[in-house]
Amino acid sequence: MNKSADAVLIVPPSPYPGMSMLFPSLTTTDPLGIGYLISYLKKKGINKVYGLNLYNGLKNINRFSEYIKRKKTKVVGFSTMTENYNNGIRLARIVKNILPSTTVVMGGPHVTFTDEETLLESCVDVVVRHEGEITFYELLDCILGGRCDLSKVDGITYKENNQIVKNKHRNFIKNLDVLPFPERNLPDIDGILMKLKEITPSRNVVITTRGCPGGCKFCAATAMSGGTYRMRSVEDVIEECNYISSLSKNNEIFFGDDTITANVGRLMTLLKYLRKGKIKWAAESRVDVITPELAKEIVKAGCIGLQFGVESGDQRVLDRMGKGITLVQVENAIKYVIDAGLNPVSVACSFMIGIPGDTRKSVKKTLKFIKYLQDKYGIAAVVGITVPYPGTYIWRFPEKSGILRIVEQSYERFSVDNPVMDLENLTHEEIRALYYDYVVESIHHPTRYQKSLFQHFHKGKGNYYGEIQKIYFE
Amino acid sequence: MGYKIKTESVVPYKYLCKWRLLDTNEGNNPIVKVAGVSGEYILNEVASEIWLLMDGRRTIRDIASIISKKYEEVSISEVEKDIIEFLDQFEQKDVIIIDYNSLFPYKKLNAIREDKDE
Repeated sequence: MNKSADAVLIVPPSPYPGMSMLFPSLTTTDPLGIGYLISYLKKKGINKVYGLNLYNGLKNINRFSEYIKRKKTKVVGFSTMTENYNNGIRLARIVKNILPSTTVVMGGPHVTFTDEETLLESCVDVVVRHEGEITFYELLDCILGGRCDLSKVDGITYKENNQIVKNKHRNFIKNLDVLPFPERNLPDIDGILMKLKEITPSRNVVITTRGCPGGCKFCAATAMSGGTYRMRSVEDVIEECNYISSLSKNNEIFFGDDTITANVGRLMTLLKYLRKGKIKWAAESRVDVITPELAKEIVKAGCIGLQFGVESGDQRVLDRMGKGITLVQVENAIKYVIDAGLNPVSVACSFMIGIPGDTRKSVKKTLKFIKYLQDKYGIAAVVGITVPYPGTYIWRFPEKSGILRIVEQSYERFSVDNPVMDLENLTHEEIRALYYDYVVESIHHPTRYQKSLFQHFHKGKGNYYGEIQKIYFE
Repeated sequence: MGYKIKTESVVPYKYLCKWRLLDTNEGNNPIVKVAGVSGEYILNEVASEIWLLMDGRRTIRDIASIISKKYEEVSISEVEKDIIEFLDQFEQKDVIIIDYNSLFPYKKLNAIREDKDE
């Protein structure tokens, strides 16, 4: 049987130590970026395209090499974020070593903004910028057709005669309904992923919109989508939700949009449809759109969890970062959704420590605000350190943003528990100390939500993590 | 540990923990405090130095070489011995992984029992 491929698309492993062993339901979610590429390519008639989801680790590098040899693929694409970019490069080198004439393509949010730097790596031939479905299809069509003129493919940056060529920007897809549902359940190499999914069903993520109209200076979503906000039709979204529910043991959906609530009229229509079905769902939302009426509609429509990006408990810092919300709106939104019937532990607010503009005093204000919300409403708080990801305003304009220097050179260490910036008023070690003290305080005085997380770690309590450990090391 | 570590290729790294520097008077060597799944620890000066040099890229040999240069009277092999002792101890506490591999960054946690109970 001819097992050769036209293209193999790969999500490289996360380098973060131990993460997938502790939070498998979060790390085993389907990578929709390459999922959409694969389903779109198949729709266009390119069927010999395969996906590998290696995010949870690649134990056996020889098996990876054998896979690449076996596939004899003409194109290998890597989809990476900032943290797993270096691992993408490591695997790209292996691919080039085995199949020197194979075109290696990189895509995703990280390389979209570091395209020229990425092409300095000899193992990378082409970078696909921004959303990739049409661009990657045209690129693949061009390569497979044999008479390839890369200058005609919009949205790519590539190497030609030792020069880097940046083609013009490709317009964003206006009608998202033209995209087929993304391919899911992509395998890994070692068989770990499917076993993890068996003992902990992963979140079924559905994207109903693309882009964000917001202007938060710490977020790359706006730049990634060029500030556009595009919505799938409600009918298309519901069809996908029903399709997933019919396939999965877990009928809970997580709407993974950058912001699902930007257009309240369309949200109301979606809620009306969701209310008719039996789908349980969770999503991220902005606090400034939540009214008592909307909160009631959300809960009636089967919502079981909401996450609000709050970021700071200091209004000055929020304003400086262009967040566009007030602390009063935060508290109101929490109150409204809980009054409407949402379980407080399912209301999560995310915060950051070490936002450009933060001072020791403003961080203390944030931590005090978190405690206030937790004590009064019993909500969950998710706290991380601000990371200047490529594409964000703070990454593009560090001086204007109040960043003195980036102290970490390796993208692998860009994570929400590792400070990588010295700010005007806080060094990275001061940020680390503030974060550490918050985490340790949480361990000693856990909230109800944190207790439910910590109980898993106690020795002798159940064997859930023992089972996960076995999967990794058997 | 029961096996010989290839110090020239093995890369130790922090594992599932948070850490910070303790506030010390200026001029003092930094002291590190670590919180992991097994508890909270304050490291001594030398252990803190090793901790700060563990960046997930340096091998044990690299770390030993830096420390040995700083304290001229100590050989690399002696420092390596101390480092391995430290790594062994803190590997048991689950706050480090001795042989970090960014493509498969996992170790068995001693805090987790694999046998079925309850």
